Order: sequence, then structure tokens, then C-alpha cells
Amino acid sequence: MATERRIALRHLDSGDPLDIDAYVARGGFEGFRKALAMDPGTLLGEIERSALRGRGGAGFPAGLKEKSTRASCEDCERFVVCNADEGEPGTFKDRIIMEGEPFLLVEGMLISALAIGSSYGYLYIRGEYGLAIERMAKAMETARARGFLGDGLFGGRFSFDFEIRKGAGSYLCGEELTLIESLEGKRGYPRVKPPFPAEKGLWGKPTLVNNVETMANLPWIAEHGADAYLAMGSAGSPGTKIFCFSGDVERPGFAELEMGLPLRTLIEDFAGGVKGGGEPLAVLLGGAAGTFVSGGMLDLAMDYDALKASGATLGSGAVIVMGRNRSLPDMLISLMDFFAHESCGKCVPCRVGTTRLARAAKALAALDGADRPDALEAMVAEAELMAKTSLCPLGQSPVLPLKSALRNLRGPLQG
Amino acid sequence: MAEARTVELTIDGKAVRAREGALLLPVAREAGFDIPSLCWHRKLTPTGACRLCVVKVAGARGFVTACSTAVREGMAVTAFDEELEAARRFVLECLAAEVRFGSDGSHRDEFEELAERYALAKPEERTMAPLGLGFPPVDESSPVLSFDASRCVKCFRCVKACAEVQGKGVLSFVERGIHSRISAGSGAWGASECDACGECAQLCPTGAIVEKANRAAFKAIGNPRDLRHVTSTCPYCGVGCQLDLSVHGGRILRSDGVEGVSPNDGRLCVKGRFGLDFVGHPERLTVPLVKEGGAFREAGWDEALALAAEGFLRIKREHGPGALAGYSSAKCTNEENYLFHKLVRVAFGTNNVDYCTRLCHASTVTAMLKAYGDGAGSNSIEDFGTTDCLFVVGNNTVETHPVTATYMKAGKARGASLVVMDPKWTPLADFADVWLRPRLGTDVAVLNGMARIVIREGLVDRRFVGTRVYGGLSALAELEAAVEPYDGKKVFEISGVPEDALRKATLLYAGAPTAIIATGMGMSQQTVGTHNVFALINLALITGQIGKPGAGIDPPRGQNNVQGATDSGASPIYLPGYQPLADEANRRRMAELWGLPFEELPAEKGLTTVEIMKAAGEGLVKGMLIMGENPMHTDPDLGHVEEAMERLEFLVVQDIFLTATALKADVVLPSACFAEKDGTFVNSDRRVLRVRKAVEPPGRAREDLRILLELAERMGRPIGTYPDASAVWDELSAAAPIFGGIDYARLEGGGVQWPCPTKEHPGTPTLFLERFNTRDGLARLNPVGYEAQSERPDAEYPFVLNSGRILYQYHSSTMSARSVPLVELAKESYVLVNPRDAECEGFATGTRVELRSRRGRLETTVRVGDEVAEGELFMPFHFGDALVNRLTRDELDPYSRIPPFKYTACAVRRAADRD
Amino acid sequence: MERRDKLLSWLHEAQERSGRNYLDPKDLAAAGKRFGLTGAELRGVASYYSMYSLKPRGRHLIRVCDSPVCRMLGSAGVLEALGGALGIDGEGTDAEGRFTLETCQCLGHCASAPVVAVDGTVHADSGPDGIRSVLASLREADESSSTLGGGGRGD
Repeated sequence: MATERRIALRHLDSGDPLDIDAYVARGGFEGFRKALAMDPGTLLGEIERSALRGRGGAGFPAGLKEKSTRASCEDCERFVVCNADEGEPGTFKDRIIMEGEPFLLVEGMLISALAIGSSYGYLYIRGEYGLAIERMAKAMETARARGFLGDGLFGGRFSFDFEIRKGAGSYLCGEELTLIESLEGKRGYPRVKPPFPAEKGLWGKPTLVNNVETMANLPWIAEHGADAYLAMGSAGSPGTKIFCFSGDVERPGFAELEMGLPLRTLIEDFAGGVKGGGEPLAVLLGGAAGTFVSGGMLDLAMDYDALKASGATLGSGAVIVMGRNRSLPDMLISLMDFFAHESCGKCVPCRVGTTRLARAAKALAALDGADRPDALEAMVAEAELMAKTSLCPLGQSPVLPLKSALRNLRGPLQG
Repeated sequence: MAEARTVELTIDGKAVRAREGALLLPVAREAGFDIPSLCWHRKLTPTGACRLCVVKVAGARGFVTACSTAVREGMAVTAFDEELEAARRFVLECLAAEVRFGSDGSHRDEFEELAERYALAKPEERTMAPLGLGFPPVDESSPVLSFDASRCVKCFRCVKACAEVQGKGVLSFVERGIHSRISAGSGAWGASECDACGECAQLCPTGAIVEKANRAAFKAIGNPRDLRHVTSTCPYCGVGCQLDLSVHGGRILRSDGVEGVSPNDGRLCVKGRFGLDFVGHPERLTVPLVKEGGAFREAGWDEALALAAEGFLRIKREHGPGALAGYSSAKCTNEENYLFHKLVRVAFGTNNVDYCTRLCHASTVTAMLKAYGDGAGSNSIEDFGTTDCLFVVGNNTVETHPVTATYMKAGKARGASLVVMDPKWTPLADFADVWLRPRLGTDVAVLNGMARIVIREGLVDRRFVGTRVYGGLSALAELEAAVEPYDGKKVFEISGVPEDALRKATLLYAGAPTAIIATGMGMSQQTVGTHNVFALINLALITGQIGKPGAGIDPPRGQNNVQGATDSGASPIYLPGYQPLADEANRRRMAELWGLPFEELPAEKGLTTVEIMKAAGEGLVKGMLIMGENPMHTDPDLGHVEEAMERLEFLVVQDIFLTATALKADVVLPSACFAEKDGTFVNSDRRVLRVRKAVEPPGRAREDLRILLELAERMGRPIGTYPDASAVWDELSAAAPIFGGIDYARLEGGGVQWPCPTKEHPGTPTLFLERFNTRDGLARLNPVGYEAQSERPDAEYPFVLNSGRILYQYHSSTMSARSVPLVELAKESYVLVNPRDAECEGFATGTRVELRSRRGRLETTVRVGDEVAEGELFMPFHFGDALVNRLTRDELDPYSRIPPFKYTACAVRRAADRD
Repeated sequence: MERRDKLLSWLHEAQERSGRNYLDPKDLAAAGKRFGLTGAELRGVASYYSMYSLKPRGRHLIRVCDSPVCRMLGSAGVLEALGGALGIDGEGTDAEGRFTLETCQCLGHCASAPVVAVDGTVHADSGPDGIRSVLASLREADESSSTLGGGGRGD
């Protein structure tokens, strides 16, 4: 039986999460100490070579992002923004990190700042995460009091501090440029790209926006080096990923696993198997902006490239299991309602398209099984046009579950 | 600034050249590729909301929006193919499912046009069912605009027009997703902070936001293409906004800003857009009036002109030319002002010609002429948006020069610093890095304090002082001695400005790479007005913040043509183009141009505006011609003005309405307003701008040009024959070297900034780049000291009253009080009282009070607000129901003869109940 | 004037202070002065984010997660049970202004679905019975704070 490999979760369940001495005693801030000893180029090189990808869902290479943020100007003000606006349905890994090992995130932010040459940052946590906000605030204060945040850290020239900002209920603010707008105190509208945050982010300054889990990997990479990280996981997707299990499984929860394990292993070994046994009706991977695989596809390897080849995505790491007695059309209604609810309304195709798809999903559910594939096909066609024309990832997302359902779940659709 | 590189790209295979970094959408459209868009507008940052301008760029994943993509060398763009067109049609169809379209005849509906282009105009062409969302009813609560949410395509153009162009942010989307919609304020438009500039309506692509006026007329016309368009210049303030007048059936139906043209680039304020209905007001004067037995009767032009000529001739005969005087007009064109001064000098035979400039920036001009030889703003209005530091002194730019203020706000948004100096809160103070709030009348102390900090902290631009200031560093030493007493403590004692704010402001101004000072009536309309401006100029000179691009001193001018009237010769001391009258050579040249014997031109310096009125009061001036001015409203100490006017033996007034002044006249001559004639105005940044006839004058009203020519003719001293205004201009440009290179043909391409001595000269956006306009080319420092006001508050008159303008009304309100929207926005006088004073006196907003000064009294209504400091009051001077100039005094600044409208000791008490 | 990036936090605090889980127009006006924003800009922000309300809500706020996982595992039943216990039909506020019942998107406790957040605290595995006992204790607390004149702050 496979076992967990805890990198981003390595300080979890080790006693009082706010005990900084215990954190240090376990080797906490060792990664930061090592990073501090490297020159920024070496640090950036290590992160880039580790092939760490953004763990928020998009999977963009973290090192590349850091490098371009650093390169966008000389001696200018830059910001580190940690994206803790975890709103993807079925996903709660960032909450686990912030509640359970807040100092690890502080350390991850420090290393990010070191890598890009920033002295100030923001941690944007969704407003619904009360406990995480409380813990991170306490951890931040403690770290500051103990000299892990502030001016001239470890007696050197590097200074860094950050503030916590609370979101107020908007899924879209998890999108990096929208998050920046929200940080600036505005409506959560996505900005047009380019410019990317690396070039013009918070208040027009180069900004690195990275997900909590991504940052939580950095201390380990800084401490153990890229080679050690590359030794885990699969070739195209090295390292580990935190998966969140929900829905019809015996033991809903989470696990940090090396990438590349088969989906079946995840469900059976780490989530206790499908409730009531047997194969699931379907599994939704990656949340609402994710993709469906059928109960017969559990041998799929959970890495970026293998999933992509099967028309699926890893996304945020959500693994939502639907039992055999669940209704796929009902699930489609939920998903389409979700997008309509969270569409900001800025661009035409998403604003109107999500509304139309929510209505279409309800209409589809009312159809006879035999008529549903055609209806779903029409929805997919419209969602594809939306994806092509929409401004931001939200309008580009509905096509993912719809298209994968059409491809992988014909049976459940009709049944 | 480095020239931007030109790059070559291809669009659908066609090679296109463009400036590197330019946005693809305008580049493609320029090259003939009509890529659709509803949300893009050249004045706004790219929004990317409508998604219609999607294109393909080789190498890029998926579609990109042309509105947000910069062109680069070698870029290969697909603008049109089946897939893109299908995507565009999909987006349009989505929109058609959400909202409705269809022009109501007043504006183009770009959505409707695109629906036609993409075969979606008819319901049967569409496959998407209407979403059937409910819409709130049309919001008609604004006095000037109406908003129909059912026609709003949510393109953000209005929101950005308000925020980015006008710097106001009154509009926002509320709610989100499909429920998101535009909202002004927190509900009804009329209850919002909207100040009715109408930029949103101008930039709305569909007509969801439209002007309320003339809806029925537009509907009757049916097609917006049937409107005639006339480009002209706004008749209100001195910004000189270019108007696009929509004309139909002899009426102006709408006024828009002309896009892409200086100085306003499409922007307007409430007055320029919604305040032009005075043109067709039923109270317009349409026939000449003559007074008989104390009452007016209608008369023919022949009779009226004959009476006017006889009246002036009689006085000239009996009392000499010095008994005649004329008030020319900052509202009239250059051509009219030129002929007016010609008439006064030639037909009256005196130099007693002046106008209201004496009441606004005379002190500024006096100081500037002495210090650097030109009495005009040194920069262009656009420079307010690009300079590094703005220092706005005694100028409520947001209300008095709203379009100039948009540049200031844009500059601030771009990162410029802003220092505001004003005893009264102004909207700009909210944007300021530092707001210096001196007590009324203490400006010299503050400015000297700043100069002292500059000198003490080594911020002097010594190279500039050494090479461009007369006397160089020894002149600086003199200034140093003069400002030495003004340390932080003393400045605070005199003015109440704390030392740290003074220091911060000084460092911002002196330390900026470039800085511009905007100085207004708050500085000039004081008995120490000239000294105030000297102190300001001293500061600019020692810091080198003048004489380079993006730096200088600019007095935004109050009236549409207050700059041009003096430029054109309406002055007791200057011939056209600031050529001193006292200089015989100038007079000889003038006489030669006019074909007159030199001796016939009067040589003696004339009386200024307030001096003329005083002389009238003393019986020395007996006959006056007043063209489009209203001293019975605008001059200080109105009680005295009224006596003087009544003492006049003969008064002729040319005007468009029967003003308080016209009521005193023996003959009233009805004239054409700005929209009914051709000519030119000169705006605040010395830009000569065309005024074009859009409609016919009402009844038998005539252009002032024609009135002046005929009057001179009938006085037996003809001043020329001119086929049209253009011919008058040609003579003026021959007379005034600063205009030498400008003619009407050249103005077709937009305004030209003087000095422009030759046809080849490009005009002068910034003055003094190489030399100042003095004989030796050097500027002068003029050390001055603080002097306490001669009129002080005391136990009987414990308050200090300040007066000025507000956004919604204008000057003596002759025009603005006859505009329905402007009156709806502001119709009555009021006095602002600080909350603490109000509490002490037992006043609340709405209390009727009596104000008394040593000269007069009035009644008005209290508005409690902390815009004014304790012990200070403020009244707008526009309103006829309470003429603030009944209280002001006519004591003058000894140098510029400007009266102190900004400082009157007065008492205020609850008015006796009238019923 | 304060920089606008603190606005969201400020609105959260104002909403808590209100005692009725909403943004009082007076608070919005105060925010306008503090941050230099117009009424529309403020209302634009306040109405965009789902955690703010421009209308008074109950002293206690009950949010039933209605995201795909919770919905699949029975959020509708939870909502109905709560509505029945509180006398609220669907979403809304009870007559006394004590409780507001509303649905929300994913609360990030999917392993415990279906979940309910009461005054910000998430209650896991919110079967109808579990949530009823939460309500009972909440009601008790509310009553004692009301009689003490505490105004029923939603803490």
C-alpha cells in the first residue's frame, strides 16, 4: 500500500501549530536559512529546476513566474502575494496548511520574497476561513516577535514583512489578477492580460502571486535541493500534491501523495474506497473547473500530462466521488449554478453564457435520457465558444466538466 | 523623449506600419480593418469586456483582444476568418439575448449597427431566446440625463469616462454576474454625486445614457445623421472647450465635446454640455429698446443707432472725449473687442476702454508682465496632466475650470504630487498631498515662508537664477533678506499654516523635476493681489520651475475670452498684442495701419474698469458704451456702482439679455450670442480658437461687429468696412505681432497658441523656454512683504466674507440663470458658515440671515459646512437674489487696480421675519 | 485619506459592529470619507462580495453550503430542516430579526459535507439533528444577551 509523502504538509499534526519553538525544533525555517545563504540567482535556479508547478489549479511553472517577476525591473518595489482564496469546490488543502502549519506558509512567503527580491507581501485569505485567518495572524505576529519577519532578518540585509487581507466571498478572486484587484479594495473584476502580474501587479508594481500549497513546497526545496524534489513523483510532474477527497467515499479527507499514482489508489487507499463498495458512477477531478472521469477510468495516473492526455485535469487536487446512485444531470446543474453565481459579469460571453448554461442544465435534466447527449452536445458547443471568447478562466471553465462528461460519461448521462 | 519606433506587422496578410506599442485595434481600424468593438474607446484604458475585437495572433494561444494587445515587429494577425466571425456573432447574440437595441434618433446605437452587420437585427435571425430579465424603470432622476438599463450593454465606457477621464468615480457597477448593472451613487442618479458633466452620455455607445433635453425633437428627426454639426468654442469659462453643436430647425439640440482636439479632447462640463439653452431663451433681446420717460419702448435699428451716436457726440462735444468710456467684453470675440477698442480710441477719442479682466486677473497680469514680460499662462492645459508637481493656489479648479481639473486629476492619478493652497476647502483638496489652509489674506507670508525654506535648505536652482534672472545671485540675496523673517513660527502666527505642512509642500514643489503653479482669483482678487503673485513668481524663479517644458505659472482664465480681449486691444494701456500705448512708436504704427493721422489717436493712458465707475460717480465720465458686461452685478460695492450708473448722462448697452446694467441704459441694442456669429476666442493657454455661427440671431438682434461699425459710422468716425469676421481678424493679426502668423484658414486645423508671429511658426505651447519676454530676456525677482489687510474684522463686523464661483452657475448668471438644467442644479444664493460658528450663532442649514458690511446688506440662506474655516464665510457671487457685491469694497490694489472680492469684514445675524 | 486596500477589512468590521450583519448606510458614508470613495464605488464593492449585505440580516447568520459536494450530500434537506426550526421559508430572516438563513458557495469543508456555518463557525456533518442542537444553544445565548441589553451582537 502506498504511503503519504508529506512535503507541503510535513509539519501537520505535530502538536500546537502556533508553537514557533516546536516548529524551529522540527527544522522549521531551515529552508529559509539555506535560501538566505544562496544568492538569489542560485535560489531561483533551484526552484526552476525543481519543476514545481503552481498548485492552485493552473499548474504554471513556479520558477518561471518568480524569475520573470524578478526580471521585470531593477531595484523596483515588488510584492509577494500569497493566494489563499481557496474557493474551488471540493478543495480545502490550503485551509489545512494555514490552520495546521501556519509557520510553514510564513517560511514559504519568505523564500518567495527572497527569490524575487521583495520586502513586502500580502496574504489574501478568503473571508470564510475564519480559523485560518486567526491562526495565520497569530503566526505572523509570533514570527515578527521572534525575528523571522521584519528588518534585517538573521542579522543580514534581507527584510520582509507582510499583512493579511480578508476576502469577502468571491470565487473569482482566486484568479490572480482578480485577486490583485480585490486586494486593492475593488470589485473582483479580472484585469486584461497582458500585462501579467509579474510585470504590473499590485498598484502597478511587479507582483508574484502564488498559491498557498505552492509556497508551502518551497522550504523543503530550499532545504533539500531540486534534485531531491525531482526524485519524487513522475517525470513530467515531480514532487507531491495534496489531494482532497469528498463525496461518496468512506473516509473523506486529504492526503499528500507523490504524483503519478493511479486514481484508484487514491480512492481506495486514502479515502477508504467508494461508499458502499464497488466502482463510482464518476469522479470529478479538480472541482467545478475540473473534469469528469468515469468509474471505469480509475487506473489513470494522477499527473499533469497523463490526465491531459485523457481529456482530464489535475486542477486543484479535488477528488469528488459520485456514488452509483447519484444523478449526473443534478451534478451538472450544481456546477452550472456555481459558475452563474460566481461570474463577475464583466465580459459578455461569460455573463450571458453562464446564465444560459445554468438554464440549459436544468432543461437537460428534465429531458428523457436518450435526448440528453444532444442537449449536452449543444451545451458543450456553446461552452466552447464561451471558452474561446471569455476574458478570464471562469468563462473558460464550464467547458471542462461539460466536455469531459460528454466524452466520459455517456452512460450516466442517459441513465 | 525618444521617438517611438515604427514596426511592421501584417493583418490578414496586408503589411501595416504602426508605432511600436500602439494598440492593435486602432492600428487595424486605421488600416481599414473594421474590427468590431463596443467597449473600447481611445480615451480609456482597455477593458476587454465586450470581447468583439477578438483576433488571432500567430504564436499566441487562443484568441486575443485587439483592444488590449500592443503591436510588435513581425506580428502576424488574423482579423477576419470564419471562426472569428462566428465567435463575434456568438458574443453579439448573447448580448441580444440580454438587452434590447434601437436608436431613438438622437444617438447612433453601435450595438444596433453591429446587430445589422452580423445579421442579428431581426428576432428570427437569432437562435438564443431572450433571457427575459427584468430591468429597473428608466432612471429620470438626474436633471440632465436619463438612463435606460434595458439598453445598457455593460461596456464600462461610462464608468471609465467618469473615473478615468473626469476623475469623479460617480458611476459603478453594482451586484455581479448577470445581475450586475450600472448605478450612480447609491441609488437614484439624481441623488448621486454626479455633477452632470455628461461624459458618460458622450461615450455611451448605445444611447442607454442620453441627454434629457430635446428628446421629442430627436424622435421627430428620427435619424441622427440628419443633424447638422457645427464646431465652435464654449462661451462659458476660459478653458476654451471645443463644442460639436448638433443643429436642427434653427435650434441647438445638443452639445458634445469634440474628440481628439485640444484643449478638451471631448470633455465638457455641465455648462458647456447642458447650459447652452440660454441661446433660444424667450427673454433674449430681439429688438432695440430706447428709454422714454423712464420706460423702454421698442425701436428700429436706425432710430436706436442714431440716438446712440447723437448721445455720445453730444457728450464728446460738450465735455470732451475724456467724458466717454467703454466697457468691452470678455464674452465677445477678439474681432469684436478689437473693433470696440478701435471705436473707443477713434470715434470716442479716448483710451478709457477696459473690461472685467480688471476684476479677475489684473494683478496676476501686472505681476507677470513686470517679472517676465508676458501676461499669460506659460503652459498648455494638457501640461497639467503630465507635470510632476501641481501647485494649485487660490483656484477652485474643479468648479471654475472643470475640464482643466480633469487633466490635474489625471496627472495625480499618474503619480504627480499635488499641493493645494486655499483657505476654503475645494474638491481638489481631497486629492492633495498637502493642503495648505492659510487664513484669508495671508498668502504672502506663506509663500515667503516657502521661499525661505527653499533658500535655507539649498533647493535653489542656482544655475537658473544665475543665468535667467536679472541680477542673478545678488538678486537672490535681496530676496533672501526679504523672506528671512518668515520662519515657520512667524508663518504659523500670521497664516495658521503649520510648519511641517509648509515644509512638505515646499519640498514637493521645489524637489519635483517639473512643477506648474495654477493661480486663481483667491490670489489675485485682493488689495495685495500683485504682491501675492510676485511672491509666487519668486518661488518659481528660485526653484527654476519655469522656462522649461512642463513647468511654469498658469492663471486659468475666468471668462471664455478674457485672455483674447486684452490680446486684442481692449485695454486702457495696451494696443493689441500688449504693445504699450505710452510708446509713441506703437501708436504711430497703429495709426498707420488704421490710416489715421497720428495726432488723432489719444495718447493719454485711459481709466481702468473700477476707475471708470468711480469717475462716473464723480461726474467726470458722463457717457458709456457697455458691450456684454454687467457691472451692476460684478463690480465691487454695488451701492456705489448704482449711484454712478445713475449719474451717467448717457448709457448704451449691447447685450443678449436685459441685464441689471441694461436696465439702466438709455439705449439697449440686442446682439447675437456666441452661437450666432463667427469669430475667435483666446483661451487660458493662449490658444486662438474659432467660434462658428450655428443658428440665426433671434428677431432683429445683430452681431456686435455690425453694431460697432454702424455706431462709429453714425458718429462720423467710421472704423472700416469688413466683409466678415475673418477680415477683422486679418487686420488684428497685422496689428498684433503675437497673432501675426494666424488666420482663419489655419484655424480650421485646430487652435494655435500665441505667440505665433509668422505663417511658418508652429505656435508656442510653452513660454520662456529660452528667454523671458523682457528687453534683456531675463526675469525679475520682486521681493515683497506681508501686509495686513486694511479692512479688518472687528466687534461690529466679526466675520471675513470670501466670494467666488460654483460649478453650476456662471459669473453674473446672465446666461446660466436662463438655462433650465443649470437653474435646476443651483438656483439660489447661500452663505457657507463653519459648523462651530453656526452653533454659536444658532444657525442651521436653511436659516435665513442678513449679512452686513460697512457698505451694504443682503439677505440669504445659511448652508452649514466645514468647507470654510471658523470666522470665515463664503458666498457665490452669481445669484441675483443676493448680490454679494453689495458688501464688497472698491479699495484697489495699488499696482493693478483690482478690487478685493475675497476679503470683506462683515456681520451676520438671523434675518427679521418677514411675515 | 486611507488607501483603499483596507476597504474590504473595514467593511467586514463595520458589518460585525452593526449587530445585524449588514452594512449600515451610515457606515458606508463613513467609509466614503475615510477612503475617498463615492457612493457608487462603495455600493459596487459591497454588493459584489457575497459575504456583505446591504440589508439588515438577523443577529445570527446561518449559511448553508450549497456548493456541488454539499448539494450532492443533501444541503437541501439541511436548509429545509433549519427553515422549519427557525420559521423561515427558504432563505431569509425570522420575524424577530434573530436569525438569517442563507445559502452560500463552497465553505472549504467538503470532507464534512454537508456543512453549515453559524456566525462564521463551520459545523461539520450538519445532519438535521446536529444543527438543531447548535441552534438551541445559540438561541439561549441570544436570549440572555438580549435581556442583558447587549443588542445581540453577531459575534
